[in-house]
Amino acid sequence: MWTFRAMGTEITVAAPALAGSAEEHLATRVAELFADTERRFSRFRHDSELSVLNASAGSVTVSAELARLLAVARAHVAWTDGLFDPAIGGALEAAGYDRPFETGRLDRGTPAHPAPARFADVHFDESARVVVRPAHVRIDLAGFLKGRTVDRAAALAPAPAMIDAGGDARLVGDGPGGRGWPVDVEDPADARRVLLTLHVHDRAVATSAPNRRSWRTGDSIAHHLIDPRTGAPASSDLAQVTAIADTAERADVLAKVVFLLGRDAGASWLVEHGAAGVLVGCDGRVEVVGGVERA
Amino acid sequence: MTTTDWRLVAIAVIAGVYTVSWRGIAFEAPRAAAVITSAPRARAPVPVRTSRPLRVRTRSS
Repeated sequence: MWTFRAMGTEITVAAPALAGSAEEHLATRVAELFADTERRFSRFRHDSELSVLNASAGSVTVSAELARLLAVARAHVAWTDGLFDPAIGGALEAAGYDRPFETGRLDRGTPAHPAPARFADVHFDESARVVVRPAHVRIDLAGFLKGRTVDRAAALAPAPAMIDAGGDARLVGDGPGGRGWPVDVEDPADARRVLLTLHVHDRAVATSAPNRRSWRTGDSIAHHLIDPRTGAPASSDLAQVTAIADTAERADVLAKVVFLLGRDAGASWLVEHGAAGVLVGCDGRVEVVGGVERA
Repeated sequence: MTTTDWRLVAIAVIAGVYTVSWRGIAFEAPRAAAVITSAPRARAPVPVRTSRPLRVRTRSS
């Protein structure tokens, strides 16, 4: 098993059936993929293609890969009825998340209130790769890019493998011993505790919770889970959502949307979309939804 | 070849280059006011071997 840091988190790569050198080679390729993706599409790098787009005025021709990401983002906006929206970049910055957590605490005084922004406000011609971004819209792809990169990394693996990007994980195959890959659901109120353990076969998991990405703004606590309907950090009766789906990208989007919807509506919505998950309420109640294999 | 032959070859080459260039310009004309170029390549981190258990721990990151 190999680890490295990228996208503000620890990435783990394991392919137990591979020889040590082959597993190391896989980990190196995965590290290159993450570094390249972060370089091109991080909103924290002023020289990334995404930052150039967010600073642009008028029409811009983007690379084929950014055009593909924007097209995929638009599809996520559509099937989530706008509960997922990459136009929250300005809202994240206004709330205080304007630099990586590694640079220090984000605490600040009164938060700013950005103009409401929707991805639908962006004119995007996919075939021509031309984007016209209204000045008030700043795009953030982090909401699904890490999961998508995990999926791309898993596709590099020639054998059953685990690609884990800080909890966004793709688990290829049946795991060690054929009983499924063990997934420990962390207690959001106490990171030292495990609430339950799942066995996952050939699927992906992703988790949304405000506990690890939060900061103080004046007298209140802000976090990174922005509700596109309000442009502010979301209020929810859920403390943590772990979604299980076919891909890490989809699991990532599902987890965020369920968090926004709350326990009752979120659980129904998760099942309607053919996924499963573990919902942890702010009251500590744990609800297992859909087809989940518990250890 | 005679001098005239060389002149004809030169004219043909120039005409060909012009045609290709013109077509290139015609078909590749920018359709937007700006074109984004990528940043210099960053060095990828070097993975480090670890002996932790093979399991995932859910967390929001």
